[in-house]
Amino acid sequence: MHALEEIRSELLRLKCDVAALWFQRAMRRYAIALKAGFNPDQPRDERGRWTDAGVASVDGGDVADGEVLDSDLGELDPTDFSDVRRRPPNLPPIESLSNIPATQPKSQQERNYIAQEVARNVQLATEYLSGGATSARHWLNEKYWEIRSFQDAPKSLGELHDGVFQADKRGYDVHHIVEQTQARNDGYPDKIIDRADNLVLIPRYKHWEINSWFQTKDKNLGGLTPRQYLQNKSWDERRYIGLKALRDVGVLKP
Amino acid sequence: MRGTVLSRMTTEQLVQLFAELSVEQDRALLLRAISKVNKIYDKLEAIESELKSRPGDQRSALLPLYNHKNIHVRVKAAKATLAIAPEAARAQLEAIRTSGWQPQALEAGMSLGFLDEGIYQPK
Repeated sequence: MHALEEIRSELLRLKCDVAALWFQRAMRRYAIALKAGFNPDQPRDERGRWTDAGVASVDGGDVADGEVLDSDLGELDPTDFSDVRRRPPNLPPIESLSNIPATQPKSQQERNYIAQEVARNVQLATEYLSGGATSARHWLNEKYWEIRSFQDAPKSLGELHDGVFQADKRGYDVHHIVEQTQARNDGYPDKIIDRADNLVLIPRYKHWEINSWFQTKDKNLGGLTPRQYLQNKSWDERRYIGLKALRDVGVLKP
Repeated sequence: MRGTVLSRMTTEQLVQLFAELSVEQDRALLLRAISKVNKIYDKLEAIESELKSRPGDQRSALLPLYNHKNIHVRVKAAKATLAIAPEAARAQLEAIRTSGWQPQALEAGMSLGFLDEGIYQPK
């Protein structure tokens, strides 16, 4: 019995080491890529390739997965309310599957917008996933796995950790509970940031929700973003917030 | 509306603008246009300050937005009224958190957490 536990423990340790090595290798590659203006937080597809939904920010700061810079809007004066009706691309709310354009929108931004509208509406998502109203060749099917993974019931922390090692990650992303870029900027070493207990596999669109939230100004934090608020905070405090975000986004069991 | 000065707007107009901007922010969130989301935040704060500065603290005019069709408007209205209607605002945030509708459930849940931890004290 004792020997079995030792083997299990050794196996877990090896898994951690493999994961750490994999990430160190990846981070070296991304460090090189960063010099070319790429963003390591940019979303990936199921094969680990960068998708075109995210772009690097001009100033080298963090950009949420899937964020598209809206620099074309220009600098807005916070006291100028004249742009109230200025809209991003004119997309209608998706309230039924019949609202989904039959032809594929050109930009990844628009395609993700529509797919997320479907994903977050249980009724619509159920209808879509059961094959209703969309043909097998419909363009939205490129987002099938993202829409499907979004419907996952909350899991235990152990299940989310184990997911990192599953072979089929379609519709999912590996997520750092304590944000990697900020932790790295604050001097935490990679071996802590990329440790197995900081990695979980979560649905891609929920990953994007969390990343967006971390960059969004919050009234409850005096107008700071959570990322700014957590700067120079302890690892435990960051982890506490990271775990709470996973719970509130419906990924981690309460 | 270029050059609109908030102090010249009626309370009703300010509430309408608050709702419109919140809908716009919801859309920007879905498009991951984070810098726009943050610019709208500044505007919502400006409206809230203007309402607060009016006789009798007119933030109470935001309370009817708890019934708005758009859930993001409801989150923003709840957070803006925590100081004047703490119980109702908390109940609204709790309902949104348990609805599981993202990303508003995330924002509502984190907001409640910051309140419970004493990180945020509504004024």
